Amino acid sequence: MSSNSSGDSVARLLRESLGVLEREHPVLHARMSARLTGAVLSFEVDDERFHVSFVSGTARVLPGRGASGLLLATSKQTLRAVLEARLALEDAVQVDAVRVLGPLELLTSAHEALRCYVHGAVRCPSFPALLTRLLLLLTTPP
Amino acid sequence: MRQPTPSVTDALFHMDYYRGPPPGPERNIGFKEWQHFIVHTPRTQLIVNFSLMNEAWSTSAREPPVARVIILARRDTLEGDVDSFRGAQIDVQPGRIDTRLGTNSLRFERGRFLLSAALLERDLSVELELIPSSTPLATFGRPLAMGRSLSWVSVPRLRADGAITLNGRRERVTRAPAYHDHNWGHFAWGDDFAWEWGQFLAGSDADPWSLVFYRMIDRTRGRVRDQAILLWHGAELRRQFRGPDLRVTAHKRGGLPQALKVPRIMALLSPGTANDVPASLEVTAREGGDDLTARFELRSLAQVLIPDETDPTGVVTLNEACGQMTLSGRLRGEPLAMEGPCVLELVR
Repeated sequence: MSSNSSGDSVARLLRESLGVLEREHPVLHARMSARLTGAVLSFEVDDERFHVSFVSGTARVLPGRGASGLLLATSKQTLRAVLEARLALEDAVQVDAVRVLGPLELLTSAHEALRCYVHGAVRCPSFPALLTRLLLLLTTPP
Repeated sequence: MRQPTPSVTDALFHMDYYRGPPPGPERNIGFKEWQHFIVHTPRTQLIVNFSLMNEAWSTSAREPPVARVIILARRDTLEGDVDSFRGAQIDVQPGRIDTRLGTNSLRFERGRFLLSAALLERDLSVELELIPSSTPLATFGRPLAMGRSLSWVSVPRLRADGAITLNGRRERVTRAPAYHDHNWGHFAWGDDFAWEWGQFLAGSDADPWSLVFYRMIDRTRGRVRDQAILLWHGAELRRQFRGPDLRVTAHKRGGLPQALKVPRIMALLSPGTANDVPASLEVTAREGGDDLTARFELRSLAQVLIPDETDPTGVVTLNEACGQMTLSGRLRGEPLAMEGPCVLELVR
């Protein structure tokens, strides 16, 4: 797992952010979780690999790749470009800068869950600090 | 050098101060207040906005407000962003004009607004002194939606001096025409309202014309609640048309270049390039033998994207379009024809 000098990694920041979302906007946390109940999403961001397991309304971020479900693979550079609106997420998928592998139905649910997550993120007071840390991490060379 | 007019200074001192929510924590929720400045230089159209919002979705009535600084500048291209501030980063006192949000500040000293602002992540900053050259106009409690209203103080013309720095290029600002308003009210973004608002400055220091147009409508844009066009010459409000005297026609919807969306993260919730902002908006007014035609020709569009406070997965868009306006018509038998820079704001 790659992390910067402050110990941040994408997985760690995602874990913290899910806790913030649950505390500060439980409605959107519940909507997000409901769309992915029983699902496993695996992530690869450069050399960092982790997965998120959604069980009974709770999202757990765990190391390594999940056994099944959806795989999303991208680079720190692409993730930063998407967050800074230099690259639209849809365009990133079309040019394979974000690669998605898995059942279409799960992909659709994951996209809806992502929208709930972002809607919550822009409404939670604690998210701007997390975003700052994430953007700093994403500028750290692999 | 032009000096501030004592009567204008006195009026602003008594009208333009920060209101803040009324006493009582339950009154905090949904209270919003902002200071808005527009400057038109020969090279740059600039918008600076300092706002404080008690967000309507706050779970606690005692939740402190969020402050935002928006800076948008159109030069060869459009640049800008929104920075947010909380807690000790905010220094605003009810009854005072002076405001500090992070390292950004607005002060009112000896009849001059002193505006200092810089974006955290972009090379865009302003250091301006703005001297009002027209009398402020206060409007209280105009209807927004059921039980919601907005009040404002507007200064239709100021003179700006100082500097605007954008992407490493510093522009010295000398005697540039400017506009200022200050708004406050209790409402939620996403309530049953929208508005169309425009501002125009023309002429010279010796022959100064200023125009403000506004139209408050419901969110479906099917019903007009209030509309007016106001025209100043210098400090004098020369003419106003209201209500049924106005007709508004939009042309070439979606005809503007791709919008700059801020804050950047909100683009994830408002993807794509489609919008319904017209490339041209024509407002005609006719009453008592006078008539005016104001045509806003828009060149660029920035979209300030705000989380909807009534719908957890909704977005409200403040469209900020810059361009040129032509004004023609006849007042008291005298023909009128001029053009100048304008800003049009459409809330959707």
